[in-house]
Amino acid sequence: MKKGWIIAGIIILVLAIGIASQYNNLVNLETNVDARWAQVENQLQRRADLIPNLVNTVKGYASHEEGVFTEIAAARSRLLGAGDPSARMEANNSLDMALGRLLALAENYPELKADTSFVRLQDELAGTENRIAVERMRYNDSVENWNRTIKRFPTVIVAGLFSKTSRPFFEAAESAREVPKVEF
Amino acid sequence: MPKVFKTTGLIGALITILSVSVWAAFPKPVGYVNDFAQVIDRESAAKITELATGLREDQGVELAIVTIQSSRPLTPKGYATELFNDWGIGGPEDSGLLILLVTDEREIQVEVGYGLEGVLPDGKVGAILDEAVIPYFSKGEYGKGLLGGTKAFRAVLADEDYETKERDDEFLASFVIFMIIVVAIYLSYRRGSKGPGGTVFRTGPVYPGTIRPRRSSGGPKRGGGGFGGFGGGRSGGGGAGRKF
Repeated sequence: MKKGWIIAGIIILVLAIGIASQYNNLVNLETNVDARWAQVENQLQRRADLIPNLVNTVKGYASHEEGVFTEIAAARSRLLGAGDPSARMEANNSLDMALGRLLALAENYPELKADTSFVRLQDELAGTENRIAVERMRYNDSVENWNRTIKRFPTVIVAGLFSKTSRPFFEAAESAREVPKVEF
Repeated sequence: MPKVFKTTGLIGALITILSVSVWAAFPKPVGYVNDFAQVIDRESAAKITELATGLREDQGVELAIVTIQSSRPLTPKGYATELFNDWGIGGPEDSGLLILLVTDEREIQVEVGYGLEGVLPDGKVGAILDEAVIPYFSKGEYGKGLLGGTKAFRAVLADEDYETKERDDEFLASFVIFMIIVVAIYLSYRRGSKGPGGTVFRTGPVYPGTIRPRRSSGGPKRGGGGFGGFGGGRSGGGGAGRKF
């Protein structure tokens, strides 16, 4: 009788240790996903900060292209106003498209293309695009790891116990695949 | 039961590590100048090496010049970012700089480590490429262009100093750890248990991506002299590039 209790106690202890280690693992992974997303946000913010300068420079040469400027301003404020990750991703994709149009516009204005501050801004923008791409990749890697882990047995039980759900990937918009490049 | 899970997890982790290392089949660095595409003339290579050695000794900045023929399947920029982080250019303060020339694509990409993003914003990197590198490249003088770029970057970084800060922090941290270990051993001796042997002090931290062990023990301090391998530096896609 006594022996039975001891065995039951050991089994419960082992189970508790197992759940605790699984849970800690989940916490680590989830923190990693959050940290990666914070990095993505950093870079999105950085780009949003660059845009007014870029728009002003372009305006100096192509002030009548109002449509593109309003489109960018709208997309930018949507991005800054978006709360949760998936809304931000969506706003970011429409900003990507608007920016693509702005940069394509520069092709029609040779003096703009030769302007040093425009070239600098374009470098900054391209660099930020690259940073976003890198952080997006790192974020998606962490999400993939997280989503896989919480679906796998036995972690799936612990994940269900603490109601951990899967996270969305950050997919790039089709038009955003091509990072703007400065060519000479 | 949990032991089984742990083992599965371990095996999973191992497989992940293995697959990552198989995928990232980058060449190993041979020095500050890694002319894999063989386009740099001897004289320029020697001068760049001299400048890079100086950069590391005086400013604590690690510069790597790499030429390759093709970056496929990655884009030149993607290759630069991956290579930078694989080699760990820049040490603990991420003060690294990678200049990657891809000859087939006729593209140059500069990757700036996190620690240098403040002094070398992308716009400045682009301007340096336009002024000091591209004029030579369009004439096909790769060695001179890379030397010109190295000189320009060194001029920008002349007032920077990443070494002192690192050394101070490192010294303090290792001193504290050293004292803790000494106290721990002293206490364990007093209790009559067997403390760990003195070998503990001799092993330095292991830096993934370090190719050859550094000369100094206890971390990547920058000693004088030759190339001791990169290690620990990170980047996140900063920098600029040009096609020519």
